[in-house]
Amino acid sequence: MKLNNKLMALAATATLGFSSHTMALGTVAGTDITNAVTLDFKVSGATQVQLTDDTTFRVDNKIDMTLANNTPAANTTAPGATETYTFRLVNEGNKEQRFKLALENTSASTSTNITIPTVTYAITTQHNGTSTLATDEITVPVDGDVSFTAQFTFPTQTTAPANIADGDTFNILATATAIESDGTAITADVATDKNDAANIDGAELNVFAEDATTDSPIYNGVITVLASTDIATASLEDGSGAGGPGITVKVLNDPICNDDNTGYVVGTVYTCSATNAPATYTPKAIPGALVEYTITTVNVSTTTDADHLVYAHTLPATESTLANVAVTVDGTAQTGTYVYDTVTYNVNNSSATALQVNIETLPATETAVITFTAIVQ
Amino acid sequence: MKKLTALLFLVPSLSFAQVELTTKMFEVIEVQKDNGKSRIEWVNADNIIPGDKVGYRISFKNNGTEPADNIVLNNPVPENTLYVADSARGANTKIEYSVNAGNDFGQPNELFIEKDGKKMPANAKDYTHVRWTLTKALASGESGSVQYVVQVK
Repeated sequence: MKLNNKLMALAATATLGFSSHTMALGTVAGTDITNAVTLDFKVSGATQVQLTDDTTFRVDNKIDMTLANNTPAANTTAPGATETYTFRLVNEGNKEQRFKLALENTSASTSTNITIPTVTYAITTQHNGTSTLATDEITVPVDGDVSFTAQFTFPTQTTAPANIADGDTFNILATATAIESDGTAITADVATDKNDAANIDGAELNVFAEDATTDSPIYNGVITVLASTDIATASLEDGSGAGGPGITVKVLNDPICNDDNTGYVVGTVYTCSATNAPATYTPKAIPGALVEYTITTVNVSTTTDADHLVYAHTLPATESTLANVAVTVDGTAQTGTYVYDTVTYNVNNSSATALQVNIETLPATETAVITFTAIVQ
Repeated sequence: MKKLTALLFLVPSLSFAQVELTTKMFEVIEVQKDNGKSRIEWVNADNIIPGDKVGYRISFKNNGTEPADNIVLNNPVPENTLYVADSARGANTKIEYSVNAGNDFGQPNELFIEKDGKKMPANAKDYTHVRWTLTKALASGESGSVQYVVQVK
């Protein structure tokens, strides 16, 4: 098919110097181009009446456009953040053209779970035209370009581990499809002989000739561009590779070992007194025993801090006297208060029956450790 | 394709020349060959879009009984197109070009344009007309053709 030859020639422009595609705009579709030749001659020295002949063809509609991702490079985002993707659509065809825009999540990682909510399109700039953007369709004039933004908010993490993982790349594929002015699909006219007398002056034909790119390798009136966003999120584990904080318990003392719980030292089992138990006695979780809980949280992200961690734990009915709350982040004791989003929080806001610890920031790669004691009933 | 024929009688001589003039257009494409090379082909045009190259082949034939001489074909480069350099052909013709709407013709190295008040050598894109002058008479029954290529703006 000759059209294929033509399109091959378009694709080969850069290497062959065939300058067809370098003419971005060009003669408006529907323009008639007439070649008119005259022939003058003599017969036996006498000038004859001038002959003329002309032939006309109509310039067809070259559907051609570029779509560029103008979102800042190396864009990163976090769960809950609102991101704005900016694209620039240029009508490089030779006629006003209507386009339908679409976005698709093409991520290959766990970010495929991200559902794109309703996208808001907004024109930010436009050149040489008065197009307005209603929903996802836009008309771009000849020589016109439109920059538009698509905005949506990444979902927050609702469970741990979340469906948004640190280091994931979220890929969003923007697509612009050339459509008829009434919104219907365009059919390319690929086999109408322009040289045929019936067609030479006929209605203009549609020819797909958009820029072929890695994302849009074929000529079909559709062009795409990929925008990628690296997801940077804190990711919490228990220190052994399991998701979320981990909690362990250790019996430090019991009434048989030592009936006096004073002198508590974090993580240290009491030395049993000789009068109650031999030195080899190990405290048991019996009524009156002093038990120590340790909550360990590791932020395994290498880049992103976790902010405003809130821990809550209520003692079961079998325990009482929650005490000795201690909080460390990377070995440094956390005390007092801090302000987060204009609200002041106590690091330790626990009572005798319920633990509430607030940690302002757990930096990337660091570990938070909370310890507290309780008495077994 | 429009075809015009002139039937011309000479007075008082009874000799006459009936010259036929026809123009046919083609799309000019570059086709890749299997050996990696490419060649230019003139093919029927399915469609013409900006950037495409269009070739015009202008044929003439003397259907009369007397030779036709001093034959000159003058072809304005159509609006919205540009003449493609070195594309004009024609056996036994002198090919000249104009850059001033056909008022003057000359060889490429004789053509100049004025740009920003300066006289500069013209290039093919400046040509407004192509003219072929046959260097010999067209005998009765004889035919010939000339051609050139434009690129749609």
